[in-house]
Amino acid sequence: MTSTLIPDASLDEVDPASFRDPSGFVYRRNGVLYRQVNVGFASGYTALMGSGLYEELTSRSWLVRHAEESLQMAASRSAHAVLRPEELPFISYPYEWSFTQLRDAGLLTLDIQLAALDRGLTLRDASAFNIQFVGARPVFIDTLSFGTYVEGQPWSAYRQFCEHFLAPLLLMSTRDVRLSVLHREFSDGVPLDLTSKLLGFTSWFSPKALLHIHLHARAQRKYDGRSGPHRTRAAGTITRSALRGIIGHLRSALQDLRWHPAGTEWADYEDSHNYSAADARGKEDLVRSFLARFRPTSVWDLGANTGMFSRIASEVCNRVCAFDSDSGAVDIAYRRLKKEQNDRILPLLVDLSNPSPSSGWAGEERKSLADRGKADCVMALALMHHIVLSRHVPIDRFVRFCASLGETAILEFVPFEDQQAQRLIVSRAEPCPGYSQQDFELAVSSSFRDWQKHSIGGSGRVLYYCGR
Amino acid sequence: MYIDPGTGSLVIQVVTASVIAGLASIRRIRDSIARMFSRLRSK
Repeated sequence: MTSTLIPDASLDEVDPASFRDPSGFVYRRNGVLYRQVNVGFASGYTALMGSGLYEELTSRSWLVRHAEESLQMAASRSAHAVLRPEELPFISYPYEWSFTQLRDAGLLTLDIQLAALDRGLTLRDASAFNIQFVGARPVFIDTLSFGTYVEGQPWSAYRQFCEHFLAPLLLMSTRDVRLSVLHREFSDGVPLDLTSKLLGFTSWFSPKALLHIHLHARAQRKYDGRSGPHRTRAAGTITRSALRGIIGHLRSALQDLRWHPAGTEWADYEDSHNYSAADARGKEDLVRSFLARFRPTSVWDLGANTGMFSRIASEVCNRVCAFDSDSGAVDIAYRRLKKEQNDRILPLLVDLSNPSPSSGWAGEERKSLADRGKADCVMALALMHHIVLSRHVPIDRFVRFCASLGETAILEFVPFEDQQAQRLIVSRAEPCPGYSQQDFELAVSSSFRDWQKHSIGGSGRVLYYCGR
Repeated sequence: MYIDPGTGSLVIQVVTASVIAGLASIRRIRDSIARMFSRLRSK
């Protein structure tokens, strides 16, 4: 006897991360992405499409669009419908987002829930993994997340929302922005009892933290595991307007959270680097000319800081990822791009010396950074001395790493005598063997088929264009 | 994907909804009193 839930498609067609939701799953056929809606979710999908909510959310660019395909494209016999969703340029995860990105993702989730309630629907889950970014614009991707709202019922996703959004944002805002890494460790959301312990004493005097975190955590401890009268009494007592009140309260809680990027190590880099104005312009022109000549279809800007060179890349390419390990730099980049409504550049928080690994069940639910590539072109500008001198990664490994991420590369060699390089070794007692332009060129030659170099004015720095 | 929130989460929503409704009522009463005083002052 065969199960109707297990796809007939061969295992390498079904997305390895798409198995938890019985409503449907995602798979590829001939390279095209599809989402199957299972028979068990037929009513939810029909309600979404028939209520007008789908049109409303897609017209606002809040929900990913899809086209309906023939059932012949289904991956199993349990299909009610087959959707072909719009593919996104790059998949990122909540632990790679800056403070403002996570907050905007949370606000979008709440706005969608309010819109759903107006049409008699509700979000069944509020996971941060339901959101993706297209440039500086968050978009909801889980089309199967909607269910019918029953008057009187509490919001089933309320706890998940608090754990995925409010808890990490409160910690980032009031304790330390680097606590965003908790999202990587707690993929089901930062537990409320842990958040309650980590938040300061004064948070007990904030009504929003008190209700949604502290008392919520205590109610979990007291009542979870007990069904019966408490659950029965709670279900059926919350009117739609009361539910809207709760969501409005959560919304203002998120809006009121603040974090100021200035003061992190690299947020002020644009004002503090040591290029002369002429050299800076020369470097921009060199990068621009290379990109204009080869017109890559995707660019990864490693150590992008606030995205100055990512913008140059976006002049010829609409799929630019700007990676940096500094929370302030990434947040500044995102805020600027959001103001411009720019959807060509996606800034992300990535520490290249410890990039996002594969994780989740069997290490397959979330892909490592390398597994989401390769990019057509990788840029590593004013980066190598940080990785080699501060993180003690040998030059050849750094170059090999860049080559593993991109088909072509623009690399900047920073000489040992450079002022920024000298700053990095000021407290170092031992010498730095293997750090020379000759070593760099040897490494480039072994990782790339051909390369050419150009000096950046009188700065002493050299740009290398590397191809296969 | 739906994850059961637990009884505690449902209970706290009832509490939160009551608190928010109470605060909203207080705000309405306060605004009514303020309007009444401003009408009296304008007379």
